[in-house]
Order: sequence, then C-alpha cells, then structure tokens
Amino acid sequence: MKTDLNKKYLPLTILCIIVLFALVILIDPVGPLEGKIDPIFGLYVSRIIKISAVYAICALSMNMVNGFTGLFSLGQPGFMAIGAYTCALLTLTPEAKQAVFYLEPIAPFLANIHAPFIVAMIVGGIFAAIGAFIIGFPVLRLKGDYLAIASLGFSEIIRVICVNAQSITNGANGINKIPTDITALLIFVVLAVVTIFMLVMMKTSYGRALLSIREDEVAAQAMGINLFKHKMIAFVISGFLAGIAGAMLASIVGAIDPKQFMFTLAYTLLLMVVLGGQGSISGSIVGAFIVTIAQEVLRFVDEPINIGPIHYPGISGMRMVVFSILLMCIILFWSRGIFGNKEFSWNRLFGKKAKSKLKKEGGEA
Amino acid sequence: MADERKLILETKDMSIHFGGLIAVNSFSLKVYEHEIVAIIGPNGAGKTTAFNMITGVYTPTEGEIFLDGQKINGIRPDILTSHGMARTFQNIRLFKNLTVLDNVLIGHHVHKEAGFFSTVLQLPKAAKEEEEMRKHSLELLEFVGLLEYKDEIASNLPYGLQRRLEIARALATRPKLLLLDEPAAGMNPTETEALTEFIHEIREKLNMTILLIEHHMQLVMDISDRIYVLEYGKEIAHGVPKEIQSNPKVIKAYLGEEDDE
Amino acid sequence: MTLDVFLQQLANGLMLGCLFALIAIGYTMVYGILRLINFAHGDIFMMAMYVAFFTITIFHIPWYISFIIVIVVTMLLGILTEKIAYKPLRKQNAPPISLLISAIGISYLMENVAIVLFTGRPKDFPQIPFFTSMTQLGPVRVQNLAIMVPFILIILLVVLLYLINNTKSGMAMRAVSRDLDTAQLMGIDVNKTISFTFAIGSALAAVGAIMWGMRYPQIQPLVGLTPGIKCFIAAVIGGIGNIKGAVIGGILLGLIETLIVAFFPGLSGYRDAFSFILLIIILLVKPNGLIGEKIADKV
Repeated sequence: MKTDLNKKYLPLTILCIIVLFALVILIDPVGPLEGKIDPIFGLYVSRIIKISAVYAICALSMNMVNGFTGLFSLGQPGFMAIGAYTCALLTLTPEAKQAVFYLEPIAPFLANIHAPFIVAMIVGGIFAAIGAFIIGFPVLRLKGDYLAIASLGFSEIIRVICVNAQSITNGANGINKIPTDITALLIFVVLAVVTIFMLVMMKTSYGRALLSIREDEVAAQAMGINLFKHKMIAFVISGFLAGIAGAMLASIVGAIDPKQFMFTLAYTLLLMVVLGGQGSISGSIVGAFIVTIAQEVLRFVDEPINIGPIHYPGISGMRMVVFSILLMCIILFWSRGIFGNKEFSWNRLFGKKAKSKLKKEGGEA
Repeated sequence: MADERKLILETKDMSIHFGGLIAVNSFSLKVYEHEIVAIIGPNGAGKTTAFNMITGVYTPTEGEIFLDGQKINGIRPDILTSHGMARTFQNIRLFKNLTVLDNVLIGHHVHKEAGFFSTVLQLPKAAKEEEEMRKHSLELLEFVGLLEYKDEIASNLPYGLQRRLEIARALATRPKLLLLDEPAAGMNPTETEALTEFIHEIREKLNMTILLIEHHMQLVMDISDRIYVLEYGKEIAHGVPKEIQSNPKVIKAYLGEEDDE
Repeated sequence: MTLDVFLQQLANGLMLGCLFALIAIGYTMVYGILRLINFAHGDIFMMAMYVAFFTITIFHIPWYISFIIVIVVTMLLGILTEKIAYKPLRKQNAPPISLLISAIGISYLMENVAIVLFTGRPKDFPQIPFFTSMTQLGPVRVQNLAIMVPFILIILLVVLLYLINNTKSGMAMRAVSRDLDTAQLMGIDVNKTISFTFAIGSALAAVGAIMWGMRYPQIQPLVGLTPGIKCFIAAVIGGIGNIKGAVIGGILLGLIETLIVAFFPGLSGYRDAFSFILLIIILLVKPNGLIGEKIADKV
C-alpha cells in the first residue's frame, strides 16, 4: 500500500478510507449519532464486523511471527487469554466482581481496582507482551516444530492456569458481566494504527532483518543479524497485539471463559493468515474478515435446508468440517493464499505489472 | 614477506575433532591487510571446516583465532560480522524472495544504531540513518554493476549475478576481511573470468583483504598473493602461486583431482 | 503417604507411561523420516477408540477379532492421512512450515468429522473383563491391564526393533530417515517406506488406544488431543527420531505426572501443564533429548 502509493491513486485511497470509516460509524453509531440512528445492518452484523476486525489484529499478530519472521508459533490463544482476563478484571466494577466471583471470592488485590477500557486494553497488551518476553527466552531458541509445540504448550499452560486460579479468573465458569461498550470505531482505529505500524515497520531495517531470518537463518546470522534479539522483538510485539485483541474480544463478547482460548483458536488464526498469504499484511486482514464472516455464513450447513424435494436434515458440526476441508485445500493447492507475500496495491488491482529488467533484456538471463 | 604489514586474520595451531576424526589439524594461517589469500586442497581436505571455524560456525577444539588482534574463538557469527568479518556461501544463500536492493540493505543492518521504536516511529535520527543506508546500498549496487536490477527478486537473477549480489551483500556489512567460499563454483569460464576481475577490483577500490577457498586453480593462481594447501586436515605447503605450482607435494595431492575436473 | 499408596501410584504411573510410550513411538518414527510433527497422530488414536467402540459395543464382535479390525482400520487410516495431507506437499517440495500447517489441518479435519459422525456426547468404551477385572498384587490392587500393558509394550518393542534392524523394509526405513533423497537415488521406494512407517506407528497407536480406552473409558472426539501432545513431548524428551528414546520418555512422563499429583494433590488441576514445563526444561538442558543424536544443520 505504502510503496506504490502513487500520487495518481492517492485520492482513491483517501476516498476508500473515508467510505470505510463512514460505514464503520453507520454499522455502530457513536458520539452524537449514538441512539439517534440504528445500526444500518442490525446489531448482529455489526457484532460480526467488530469480531472480524479484532481477529484481523490477531491474524496480524500471528503473521508478524509466522509470516515475517518465519517462526512457527501457536501461542496466540495464550496471549489473547492474558489480554482478555486482564481487561475483564480491570473493567468490571467492584460490585460486579462480587456477583461474578460467587464460588470463591476474588483475590483482595483485584477486588477494588477499576480502569477505563482503553487503559485496561493497553495493560492487557503489556501483560501479554511480558508473557511473550518471559516465554520467549526458552522457546525462541528452539527450531521450527519444537517452537510450535512449545508455544502451543505455553498457551495450554495459560489456559490451565485460567481454569485453576479460581480467585483470580473465576475458574472454569469464566467471567461475565464485562462492560460491552467498545465501539466499532475504536476497534477500527486500533486496527488502522496496527496496520500502519506494520506497514512502516516492514519498510525499515528492522522489518527487513525479520524477513531475512525467514528467508535463511544461517545467512541472516552471517550478515550480522542477532537472531535471538530479532525473534524476540517479533515475538513480544506479536504478544502485545494478541493481548490487546484479547481485551477487545472480551469487551465485545462480554463473557470469557478458558474454553474460548483452546489451542484450536490458533488453528483458526492460522487459517486466516494462510488464506490471506503468509507474510502479507493486507492478506492477514482480508483473511480474517473472510474466515470470520464465512464461519457465520456457513452456519446454514448446520441447519436443515429444503430445496424443492431435496431435504437436507442439517448436521450440527458440519460447518467445522467444511471449514477444515477448506484449510486443507488452501494448503494443498493454493499455499500462496490471496496475496502471496505481497501487499494490496491499486496497480496490481488494475492489472498494471511492474516491468522486469530481466525479462526485457531476455538475452541477459 | 614484509611482516610489518598489519595482520588482519591469524590462526594459531587451529584444530578441530569430530569424535575421533581430526578434521583440521594444527592449521596456522596469516592474512595481512590488503592481501588476497587462498586455501586450496582436494575434496575433504578440511577447507570448509577451517572456514567454518574462522566464521564462528564451529568452535575449534584447540588453537586460537585472532581477527585484527582480537581473539575470536567460538564467537557467534553475527558478532563476528559486527567486528568486521563477512562471508559468502559455497551454495549461494541469498534472501531469495527479497529484492536485490533489500538483500544489500539487510547487510547494512548490523551497523544500525537506532533502536526498534525510534526506527519504526521514524524519528529524525533514525530516518536519516535509513536514508544513508539506502544511499550507500545504491552506491554499492552501482559498484558491483547490479544497480539496474535493484528491484528484481534475488532468485530471478542469473547465476553469475547472484554470486555478485552475495558478495555485494557481504560488502554491505563494511568488513575488514571478506571470506569467499568457493566463489567460482558452478561458473562457466566467461563468468569465472569476470569474477577474477571483480575480486581484483574489490581489493583495489575498496582496499579489501580477502580470504578464499577455491577449487578452480586458474582463478586461484591468477588472483592470490599467497596460497595455503591443505590435505587431510594438515597444511602441506604454503607460499606464492609460483612456488605452489611447482611444489611436488601439491602436485601429488592434486594429481587425481586434476583428472577429475 | 504410606508405602502401599506409593506402590499403587507407581503402578498407575507405569501403566500410563507405557501407554504414552506406545503412542510416542508413532511420533518418533514419522519425525525420523519426514522431520514432521504428525499432529494427526492423536486423532488416529481417537479414531481407533471409536472403531473399537463400534465393533465391540454396537456390532458385538468378540473383542479378540475386534482388536484385529481396529488395528487394521487404524493402519489404513494412518496411511490415508499421509497420502492426503503430506504426500502432495512432498511432491511440490513445499517448505516444512506448509507440512506442519497441513498436519494441523488434517488433525482438525478428523476432529470435526468425528464430531459430526459420533456427536460430541461422550461414549463409554467397552469394558472387557479379561483386561479390566481387578487383581490383588501384594498390597496393590490393580486392573489386570496394569500388569499386561508393560509386557505388551516390551513384546511390541522387541518385534518392532527386529523389524527395523533385520528386515528389508526396516532397512529401507533407516535409509530414508538418514537421507531421503539419497535413499531414493539408491532405488528405495520412498513412498512405500513412508506408508509402511505410518502403518506401524498407527498400529501401535491403535494398541495404545484400546488399552487407554479400557483404563479411561470415556471417549469423545477430542480425546486424542491431550494424550497426542503429551506423547509427542515424550518423544522429544527421549530424543526425537529414536524409538528407545520415545519409550523411555513416555514411561518417564507417565511416572512423573502420576507421582507429582500423588505427592501434591493440590496440583492435580495443573496436571496437563507438567509435561509442557518438563518439555521446555529438557529442551533447554538437553536439546536433543535424553538419548537423541544431534541433527546438525548443514552450512
């Protein structure tokens, strides 16, 4: 987006951004409009759009580690859980906490703290980043598949803690009554900030250093790149992003419990990243929207359908089968995904390809 | 030999054992500033192993290695690079899916001073640094003759140019010592000739010190100031190209090898 | 804790460990050949349990015949997963990360298919008195199974090692795990060898699944997840790629898990986290596992 932000297409880009944000405000009216007009597509759609945007942040978080740095981490659910629980505990009012923690009273140090959502979200992100930093020390020294298992393990440990630390997390019952006042506008602003951050970062020396690790660790190290340090940078930022996404998710849904952060969540995120194209920022965002919306749309395969004489009884769970078949098909037949490792650009959309010097001077190659 | 010149690289009795096998045995080597030194030897003579010890991939079992007077045994490759040693690989290890320019830019990252956040937030100092990196990279690409291909994906370059790019990438780290691991491997005679010229040019114009491993005799004889010959992990001869060419031990070690090639 | 209780726990831990070992072998064999975590292995294990449930409880086939059916079906399933999820990528020469994603994909697929076919409601695994009745062994009272399982493990291990070291297929397996490309050049049928490896790994998982089902008789579509991951960890602890390592790692993990909970009952909720903590420690202290060889990167 940034690279070929040609003067020519600048007005188009600005127009698109304005339209996008106008839509965001229309699906979830804020400020003076709040209460005056109804969400144009109804509450159900605005909720799905909100969740999609949050998953887009999660997908970007995973893409940072898996797509750019070439590490295979499945720790996102753990980081999201940290963010979500932090946010829940900070935004619940003391009275609400008493009501929620009825099995075992909440730990005294948590009982009376209260913070606005923005603060809670950032604190959640920071805690997740700290978690990433601590876990990064042992696991980032591991290669490919070991890292996958170890990060998965981390995520499971967090979940097990959430189930057992009754006085902090309310155990398996989870926490409900979380204030759900987060607006679509706020989510999209955060998403935009994160996207711009990523785009800029990938154009700097640090971004290129991450890519070089993905391309060839041995060569990257020989070029003087401190592998551990750069992997850690990617991992901690990814943790932070997953943390704020978790916080936002808690605020949209209003109730969290450990089951939401099973490692199957990591698979869903993986599907988003792979579908969009590993290593593509635009890809992760598009992938997240497609997958989240498709999950809703595909609900029809769980329901009975009558098309004329044909009666389909509706099989509950079929949706996830279709979904996993989709993941397999993408991996097996279309592993580049929608964007490959490229970014969205008007030039590409309008079919103008950059000319290659090599092809022009055919004899040279 | 005029030994007043500055020593860039020195190994003293460098050895490495893998289990019972002694891959390199008590190898001592000196590379002076502005010199081109070659290590040659038949396949399996321990050249690459010696190279890997110097570049920090392996830690020698015995002996010492000094870069510019500083002991570097067992120091990680990335730190060595920041101390002024850069290398290429026998089987070309470019960042294949990145552009030619990006490959060279990554070589500059080792001297990056600005931290992560000041870089991403594009604070003035960091932004200036990025700008200088880009400028220097373009100059370097011009020097090696790859400027016109700067936006090509590295793996799309023809083989000879990939070699050149790999060397350019190593030069981007601003080394005192450049190590080339079989730079002529897989090249045709025309490409090899161009490479010979190129290596000369690097030495002259950039005042570079170069250590290389090579199979290709003609290239080695043409460009090296001095040559070390390894066989079964031990040095069997060293000297200027003329001496090596007429050394009976070297001829014997190479007889079979020459036939093969 | 009295000695009796300790011995009782030791017996439990040993049995759990042997079951881990049986499953871990499958992981280690596949990893040895393809350098890939076969995420689907835990789901193969789950499918084996369902096959056993259907043949015994629903179709009333005598258990000794059912077991054979279970093993054969599971073997075929193992080969099938390889053909669907890994072989096409091997042909494309895809990067390892794609294989890993594919592994996750096929595992996810099997779980979701199981949910549709068998519903999420837990089913009771058939109890076969021959295995599940209790025996008094000195101060310890255990299921017959607890006594049999270690022997079954030893017998299968001996057969397996014989197969690998003394048969042609075994030799091909070793060659492929050492260097797939060279083995291919030497005329070894790599695809057949890989199928063979999956078949054996799956067969062992099937045996493990039957025993597991009788010990922990509730089955549901996600039953393979936790044991699957734990067994992979066991294989890593022992030294991935090494069959004896997988056995040692499995037994160790089973004992540690059981005994920690026995000594510190307060920690029982954290049971599933132990193996991960152990994994991280082992990888830091001995990255190649307890008896594994170093797999070096070529420069």
